Amino acid sequence: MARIALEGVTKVFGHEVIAVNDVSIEIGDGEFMVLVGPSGCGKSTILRLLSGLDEVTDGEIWIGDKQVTDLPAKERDLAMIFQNYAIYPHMTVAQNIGFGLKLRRTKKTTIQERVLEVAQMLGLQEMLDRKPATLSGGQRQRVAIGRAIVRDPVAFLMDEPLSNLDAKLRVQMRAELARIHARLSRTTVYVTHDQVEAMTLGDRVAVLKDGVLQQLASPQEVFRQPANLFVAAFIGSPPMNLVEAKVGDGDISFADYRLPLPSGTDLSEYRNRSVILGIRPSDLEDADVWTGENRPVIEANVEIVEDLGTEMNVIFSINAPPVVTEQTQAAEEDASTETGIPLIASEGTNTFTARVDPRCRARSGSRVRLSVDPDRFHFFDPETSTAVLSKHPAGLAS
Amino acid sequence: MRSKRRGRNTLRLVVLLFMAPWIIGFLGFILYPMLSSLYFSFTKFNLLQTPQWVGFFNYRFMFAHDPNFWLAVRNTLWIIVFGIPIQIMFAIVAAVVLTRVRSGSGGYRTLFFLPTMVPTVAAALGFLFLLDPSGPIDTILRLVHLPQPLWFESAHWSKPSLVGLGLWGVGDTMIIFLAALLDVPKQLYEAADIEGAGWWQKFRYITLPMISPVIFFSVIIGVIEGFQYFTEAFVVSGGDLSLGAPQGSLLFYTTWLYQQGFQYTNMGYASALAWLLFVVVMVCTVILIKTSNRWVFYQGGFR
Amino acid sequence: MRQRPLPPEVRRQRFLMTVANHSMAIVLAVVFVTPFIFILATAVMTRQQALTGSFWPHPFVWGNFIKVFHFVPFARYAWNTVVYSVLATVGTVVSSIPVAYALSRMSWRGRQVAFLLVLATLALPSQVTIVPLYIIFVRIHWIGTLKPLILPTFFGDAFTIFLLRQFFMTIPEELSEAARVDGASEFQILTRVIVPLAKPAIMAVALFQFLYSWNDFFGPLVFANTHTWTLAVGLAEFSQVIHRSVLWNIQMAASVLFMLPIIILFFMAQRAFMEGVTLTGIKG
Repeated sequence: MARIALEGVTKVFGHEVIAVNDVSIEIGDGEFMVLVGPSGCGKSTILRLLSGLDEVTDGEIWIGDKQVTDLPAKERDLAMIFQNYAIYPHMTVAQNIGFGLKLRRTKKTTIQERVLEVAQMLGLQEMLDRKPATLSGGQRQRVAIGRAIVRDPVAFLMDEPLSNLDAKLRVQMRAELARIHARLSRTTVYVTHDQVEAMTLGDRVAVLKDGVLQQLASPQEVFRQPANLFVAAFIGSPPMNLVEAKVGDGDISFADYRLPLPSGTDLSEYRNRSVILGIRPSDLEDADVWTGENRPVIEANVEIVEDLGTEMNVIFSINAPPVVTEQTQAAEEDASTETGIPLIASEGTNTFTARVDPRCRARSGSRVRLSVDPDRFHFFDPETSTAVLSKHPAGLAS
Repeated sequence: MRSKRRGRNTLRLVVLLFMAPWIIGFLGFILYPMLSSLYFSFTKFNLLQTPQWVGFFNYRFMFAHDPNFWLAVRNTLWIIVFGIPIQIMFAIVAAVVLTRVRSGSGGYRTLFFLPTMVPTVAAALGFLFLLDPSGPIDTILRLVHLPQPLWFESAHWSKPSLVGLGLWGVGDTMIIFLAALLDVPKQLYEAADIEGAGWWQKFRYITLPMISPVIFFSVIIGVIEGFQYFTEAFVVSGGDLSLGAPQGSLLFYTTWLYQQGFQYTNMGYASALAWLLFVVVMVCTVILIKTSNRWVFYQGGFR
Repeated sequence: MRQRPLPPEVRRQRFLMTVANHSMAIVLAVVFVTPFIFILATAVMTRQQALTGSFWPHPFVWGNFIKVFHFVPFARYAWNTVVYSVLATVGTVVSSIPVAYALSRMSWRGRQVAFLLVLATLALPSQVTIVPLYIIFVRIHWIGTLKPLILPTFFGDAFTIFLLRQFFMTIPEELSEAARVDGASEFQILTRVIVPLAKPAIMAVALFQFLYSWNDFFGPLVFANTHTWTLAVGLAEFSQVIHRSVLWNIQMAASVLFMLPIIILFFMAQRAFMEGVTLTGIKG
């Protein structure tokens, strides 16, 4: 059991490619830390640096009270679960799980006991004598997990462990991982590009882009208070609606809309200038269904309606150019390949998505009235892309 | 309907046409000679007279009255039991060294492989010179005051010397091992690294099982070729007039077969020797294949 | 980019590792190369020097390479070797390609059985067929010629068929089907589609067969005579005639000339060789 710390860790491949750039993260004892970001953001590299498979170019790594920066992998007493499991194809399930113990010259009977115990925990006891080739993807995944926990290491490193599973199994294994973590409460570093995994599993989430740490906070905080445009656009599905808006006197306007400013936010610095306004799809609601509260309403022409059963995505375009910055693009590149949400890439128009109650009667081509909650607005500086911090954090008020 | 059948018939004809070389070759150069040598093995036949049926005489003679047969069997088994494992181990070591050298491994690979290109007879003549009592190796040994064996001229050292000659040409086996070693997924080693394995443990528990199909392949080829060991021994013994020299230490099975058949024209006896060789090679191959699933790991359940 | 300096013990350990690896490689390289050096050096020594275990020629007698041709009918042996190697290579390749094609890219009843038979003949010791073949060739008076060695190569070689079949199997079936739709016959598919795509494999098997014939000892020893000996047999017999201990320089010079074409061939086609050798290992 141990805390893990990265201090100013940098990794350069060759001479040019900076995979990880001056990242400092401290992971508490027993904490479940999720590293999330689009592909190529350096999250897997960080895991390999932690494990000792790769060496840092600069910076230090601590496990417990020990500086392990130059320690080879085999002496760090960690366990790692690889994306493709990397279970030994020539060994049986039992041999795979017990291999680490065997290397430590553990007594045979002890190995058997431990392997059986772990196998029972993972529901593998029926297939201990089988070879990996005869196992399904989910079973192989369990073997990889079993191999990791049997040794009782100081920490777990998991590299996108669920990405090779089909959607249903992924949900199941996600719950199982949460259960195992609750039971063992061992320090865990978990790499994923799946934000649902990040949100549901992580005690804290580290969002990375191009090897640079963007935000390190609890999942809720990352969702409710994204530190910059990248985090805002990357976390949340469907992604946050973004538009350039003009700050007026107590109000804000974009496209054909003029909305009041939220009470706690001081945007005086931006008066008569623009700011980037972000509204989560879930913070838009059908005004004809939710009639109770007295909120400002915007009207729009519906382009597409996606009825998901429990909720409904209403997609509409607004009369404003889309927000295209380096940061939103980085987030979008990943989103378009990972999620099923169709991106309407009509040049020059900005599309918004509202995630509304399925009782909404909006149909494609019809008009819809959507209520908005100014207290949940997010603001970002158009030049720096960083969040404009409000006195009372947006969203936490409710 | 009609045209379909005609199509099928043409296809059959094409297959027959394409297969024809092999079919003729198989019948004419394999099946017929095999059967007729089986027949000859039960005869006394010296090429001049017609074959004379003698029943199992040749086989009985072989086992009961031919000391050279047993000498040849012992020498041949010696080469198979000692020579082949040493060769395979050496090939693996050379291949592992190639994988561990980061810079210049291409150059090393060429150097290691080059001797394999040397024709067997040239290599044997070369070693005959190198290991000559007045040759360079013994000269060096003399300079450093080490014993200088007589190598190919001593019954003790002749077979080990042949193993040395075999090691020099181990390049092709080495290249196959090299390819197999490079084929082992890197992640397996990484997983083992993290689990705390040292280099020997990684080699023992990951590398060896993962390359076991190639080891198996090399053993089979080695056994088949070992039973037919001939050329090197022929050359270093000094040829037709001194086959098996020194003191019969290099009389191998095929040497004896050659001598019986083509020096003494005992075609019947040579055929019996050949058939026994054939049966033994087949039995060994089958046994090796049957026992292979105990120690050979086949990826993806192949075979 | 600032580079964190590695601690001295890690650096030392790594340095020692590299040194150890290279030392191993160098030791092996010396083991593999030294015989070449001795053979080459002796090939240009005087007869006397070659007998006394000298390491370096003094003087260099390049004339030994000419003398080889006086001591041995080297030119004739070389010509026989070339004839045998070239014709056997042509025969093997030409006859094995269609067989490999039929065994891999056409479906017909009995294909599996035929393939298993081909595989089985791979393990067949040639000794079990050589006596009756010898008898046949005696009867038709072919002993003493190269014909008994060359003729059988025109009827397919199991090893070549096997390797080509394995390679043909990897060519996508769609290519044949596209050609079939365009109205190509099987023969046209073979010559226009498969053969061009399989060039590397064909190169490899051709090289193997060439090497095999160049090296072949048992075959020419049994079937050829003093006029038709190849270099392999000729040089071995020459070595017996002078019976060791004498003329090492000429023997080594002859060996050098014997291996030289193969070494040159190797450097010209190193890639094809290595890939070909690797291909043979796949069947494990």
